Amino acid sequence: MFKFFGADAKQSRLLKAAPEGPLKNFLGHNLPDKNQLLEDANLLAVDFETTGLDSNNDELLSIGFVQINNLEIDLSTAAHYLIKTNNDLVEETVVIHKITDDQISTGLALKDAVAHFLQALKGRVMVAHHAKIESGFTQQACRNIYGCGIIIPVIDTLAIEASRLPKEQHANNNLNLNMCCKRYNLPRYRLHDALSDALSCAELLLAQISHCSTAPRLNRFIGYLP
Amino acid sequence: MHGELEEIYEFVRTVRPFDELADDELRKLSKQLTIRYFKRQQKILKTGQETDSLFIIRTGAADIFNADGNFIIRVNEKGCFGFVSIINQKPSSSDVIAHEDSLVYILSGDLFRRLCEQHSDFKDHFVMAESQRLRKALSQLRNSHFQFSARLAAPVTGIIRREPVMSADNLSIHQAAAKMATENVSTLMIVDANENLIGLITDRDIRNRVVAANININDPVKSVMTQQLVTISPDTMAFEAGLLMMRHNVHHLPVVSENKPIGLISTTDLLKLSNQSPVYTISEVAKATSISQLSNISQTIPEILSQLVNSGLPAYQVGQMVSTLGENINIRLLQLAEQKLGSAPIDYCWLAAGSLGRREQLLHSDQDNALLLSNDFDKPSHEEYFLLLTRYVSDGLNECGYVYCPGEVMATNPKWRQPLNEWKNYFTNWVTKPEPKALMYCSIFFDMRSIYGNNELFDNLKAHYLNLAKDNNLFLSHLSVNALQNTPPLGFFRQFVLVNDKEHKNQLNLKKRGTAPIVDLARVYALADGLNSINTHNRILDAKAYAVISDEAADNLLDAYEFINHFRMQHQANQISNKLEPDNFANPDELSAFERDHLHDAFKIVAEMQKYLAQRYTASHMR
Repeated sequence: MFKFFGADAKQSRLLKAAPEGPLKNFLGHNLPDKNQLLEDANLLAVDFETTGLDSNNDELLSIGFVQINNLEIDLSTAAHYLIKTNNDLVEETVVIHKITDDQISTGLALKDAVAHFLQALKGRVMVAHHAKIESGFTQQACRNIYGCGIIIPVIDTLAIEASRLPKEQHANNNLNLNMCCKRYNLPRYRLHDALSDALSCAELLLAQISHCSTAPRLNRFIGYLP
Repeated sequence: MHGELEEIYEFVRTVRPFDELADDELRKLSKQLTIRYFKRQQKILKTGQETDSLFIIRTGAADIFNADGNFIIRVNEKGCFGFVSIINQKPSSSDVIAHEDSLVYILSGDLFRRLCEQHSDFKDHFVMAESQRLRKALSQLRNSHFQFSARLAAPVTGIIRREPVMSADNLSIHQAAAKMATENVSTLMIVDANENLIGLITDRDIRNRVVAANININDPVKSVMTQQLVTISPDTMAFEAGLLMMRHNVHHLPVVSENKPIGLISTTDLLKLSNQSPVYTISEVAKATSISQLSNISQTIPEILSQLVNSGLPAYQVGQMVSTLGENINIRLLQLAEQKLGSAPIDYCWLAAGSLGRREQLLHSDQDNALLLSNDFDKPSHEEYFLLLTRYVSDGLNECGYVYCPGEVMATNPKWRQPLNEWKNYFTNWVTKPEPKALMYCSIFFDMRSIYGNNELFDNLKAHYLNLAKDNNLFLSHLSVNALQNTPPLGFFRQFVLVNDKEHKNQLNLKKRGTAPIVDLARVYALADGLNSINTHNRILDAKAYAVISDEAADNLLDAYEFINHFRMQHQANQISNKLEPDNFANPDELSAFERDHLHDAFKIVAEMQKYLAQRYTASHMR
């Protein structure tokens, strides 16, 4: 009965509903053992660039990710996909993500990019800074493409930082990725594309973990989204 | 589409020796790294641990300790470690501990070996001795400077403006002047029947030697031309030509090839190469009629230094040029003093000691000077004149920025204003009874040079002390101990706490710990063999020529001196362009990876030479 509400149960239900293909493959992998040490876990640091924050109405523009295995970031696994959108880009957001219509026109179809992403995320825990964006847009994309939702094991570096930093310091963008990296003496990248931010996020997690007093287990940080 | 990792690439290309690799190689390599994070105090490598990776510090720093737990070196951002294990295929021979929270890039041993196989420059960085690396760095430094400002370092042939205007030596003064008028030149080169250059005549010569002296213009031009000529060859570099003009105080230099004129260059030609030429400044110094004028001219010296450094001249040449300016200010002050006080009652010569004596003065340093009087000195009748003379010059120098010597090593101090015999006694005492105070004086007075007056007095004194010091092992061993007191700051690379006074804490003293140890070494070499040279660069060259030290040691030491000196000058030039007061204190953050690497190489060479000197002279002293 307990299982009925748990992540495992939700995963089995979704697995049954999902059509053959990338999503079903993804859901077919067992969720990671929550008791394993983080240093033994396989992770994928992820960042999405989008046209806005609302996954119902805004569009996914690019996906960047890189693997973390045994607390080591493996740059040979770094990937960056631009996605063709349905609508022309709105000028205000172009200023932020610096992705132009020209670049987008060379991108992949959403369904191909998502297929690559799910393939890479399979069997791994997603690491993202403010992971609701990444999980929300993935959920929306899966519903549109496969007619079925998803469940993703997630570590949110923003949530970790919020728990480490006293409440009164949460204001003034102190929790944004750039400020977090600064606090841990990490490089701050000039570019803010999805891959650079995914890499920053991966580095931030390594820093956060190394500052834990004892080697943490996955269950200390893991959540399931959406 | 796969990851570009632009930012990783941009970082790696700034790390030595990765900067030797081509762009596409670097981009490929950026995608093959892994990244780890180490918390402060965390062990990155343990002694005996199997490792086959190169570690590159992206942010933070790591300390390396040997197996006995002794601290060896600190590796900072952009620094590498782990290559010894890869090259020797052995486990780690040291402990590496994160000094700060550090993000570290890791390159696999396989990739490292492949890079070494394919790029000898890359490999050399890890396997070459310091001396080899330093030599390579210097040549790179020169090449890059040549690209920036080739003008002063280019051969003079490039600035010769026209074919040489010559006339045969059988012409009359009148004919020569007519030729100068038609050719519209101010200088005419006079050649013999074989077109060998034998003299020069200028507008000014015609005014001074012909018209003013009422000489018949139909006399042969030969009789009034200048015959003692300073000439240069076509491959002379422009800055060398400038240096010659300064030394000989001439405004034209014929360029000759096997004594045949090929052109003429003037101070004006050189002036066009740089807007604030030292050659021009020297002529201004010679024209000055008051201390306040000299003081104004003197204020342009920092700008000149800055330009010379940026023009790519070797550091020792920059030192010589700037010293020549200082020297000429001394000379002009003495001339003004003599104009004011009348001619000296007896012969004397003005001695520059310390950095000016060695022709290594950079910016305004303390004045170190002395006066050597002829043995005709009669205190009651002459004392007053020389006191006034030395006061005038010393006060003038102080106003020109060469402040009074805190140790009172100045000609105004009666102790350092003595007749020849007394000076000889001083040196005899210093050499035969080398006490601490005497040895302190040695570093000042063994670097003396006569810059004005009767040079023979000084030649006599110098012969006296060179003879005393040569092969005098007791004296040399004391001098060596003294020379080993300032050690190169190898600790700089361990920890940045170097200077303990508050203002310059954590800074590297580029003079005391940088150039001074080399200056001290060179002095011992010169005195050990009775060598006449005073300039450190020349002393090392002479020590090589007379086999005081091996060719290899001399070449290495010259490179070390050049690199440290260059860095020190560049540091001051940067301060000048940033409107800061130039000093000898460098901040660790100021160092590029290239500079940090090669300063370290240079300091190691100096330390090595100090060790060698210690074995050679101090052992006998200890026994």
